[in-house]
Amino acid sequence: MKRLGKEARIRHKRRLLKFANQEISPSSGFRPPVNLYEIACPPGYKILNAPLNISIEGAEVQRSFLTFFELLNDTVKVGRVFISFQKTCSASAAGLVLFVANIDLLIGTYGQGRLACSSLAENKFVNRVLRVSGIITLIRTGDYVKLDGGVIPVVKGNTGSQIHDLIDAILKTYFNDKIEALSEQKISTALTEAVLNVQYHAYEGVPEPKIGQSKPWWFLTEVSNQTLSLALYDFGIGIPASLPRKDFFEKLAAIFSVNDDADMIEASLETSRTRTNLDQHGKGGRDIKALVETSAGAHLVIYSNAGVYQISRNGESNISKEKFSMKKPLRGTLIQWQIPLESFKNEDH
Amino acid sequence: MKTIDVANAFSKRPYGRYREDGPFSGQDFRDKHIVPALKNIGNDKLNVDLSGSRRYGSSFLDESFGGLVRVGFDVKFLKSHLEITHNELPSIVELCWLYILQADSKE
Repeated sequence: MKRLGKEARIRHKRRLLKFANQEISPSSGFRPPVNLYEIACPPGYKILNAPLNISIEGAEVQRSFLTFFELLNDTVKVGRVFISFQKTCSASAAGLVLFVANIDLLIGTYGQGRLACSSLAENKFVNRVLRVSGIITLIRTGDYVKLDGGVIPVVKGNTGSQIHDLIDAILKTYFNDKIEALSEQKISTALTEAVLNVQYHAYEGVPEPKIGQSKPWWFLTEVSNQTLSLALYDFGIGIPASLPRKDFFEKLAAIFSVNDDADMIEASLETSRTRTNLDQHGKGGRDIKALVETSAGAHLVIYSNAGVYQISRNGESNISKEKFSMKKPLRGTLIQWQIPLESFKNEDH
Repeated sequence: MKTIDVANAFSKRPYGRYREDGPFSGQDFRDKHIVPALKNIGNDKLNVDLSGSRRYGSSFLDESFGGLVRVGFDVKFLKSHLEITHNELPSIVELCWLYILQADSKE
């Protein structure tokens, strides 16, 4: 690899500094060693390193990701925080949507002035997704990046019209508006029914978070490795807390052995398959699953409170289901669908 | 035969079961379009043409069609006077009739 000369190194560092919104005086020259990421931190802010993995997949990643939010919350309560993404090396749609929602809640609770962040990560991919997702803009300005074509940032919404706008954006961005009728129907129905569930159940009987919008949800989509990811998050009470409030819960509990949060998620999804005259319930669950159950290689995972329930379609017809518990519970419910783009081709009506 | 073209007469972006869910709910579609048309159908037949949208959630379809039974229409009457079509998605049509039959089995 060609080694940069001293002048070139200085020019490169200056470009990085400018990118990090930190101007340096031309006359001051460059005085190494300098930590660019700390330079970008305004005075009076405590630096907090963002998680290495902005993701909720895997027990250890999950634990450290959720621990970060506890620490962030505790620190913002008493002062100002500068979030450094320097060491962050991966970011998933589910992790990003969760990150944005938590930032939004902190801004709603303590005001926008308490948060700042670097715009630089050492990892180029992470830099790109941080910019595209709108996290940087949200932390710096308190505003969301608008959905206006090209890329799809994290969107906060609470209406059916907004989810249709997102579906339009998905079809345009990833499918060039050319998609099989059945594929569009499956994506649309999974998303609209999941959002309806948020509207009906997620914020039942609890004070809503201070984020200026009633019954909010957050959504992010991305395509990576030829796989479409869709992630929907709400800050509500979670499926395990809302399900026992339903009048049909006793019937449901008699059929499913409901011992923990993961069992509750399973029971809520599988209601429509029971023969208990509960057909009016669980239609949403069936639509949420259908997107995965009918697509080879697809994967659905639902995190709600301390439970995790996942469904994978491994081959042409092999569907596997898994349940487990998280050591650190999540507030609300996070649904992530992952569907290989290949499976949207030539769908049978 | 009378026809209701859902995409033109109602919305290409249906959403939700009840009126409070949003402006294009199943309840609204049923009460403002299908019910009045069926009440005046006489010996004719009503075709509800779902073509033009590929975004029908179960809640919307159940309230639109299963809801017809819940507001008092008899399945026998519906079988004689109601036709549901979609030029791309026959599975949606099957689902609508399934919701009608399910609603009837609970009455």
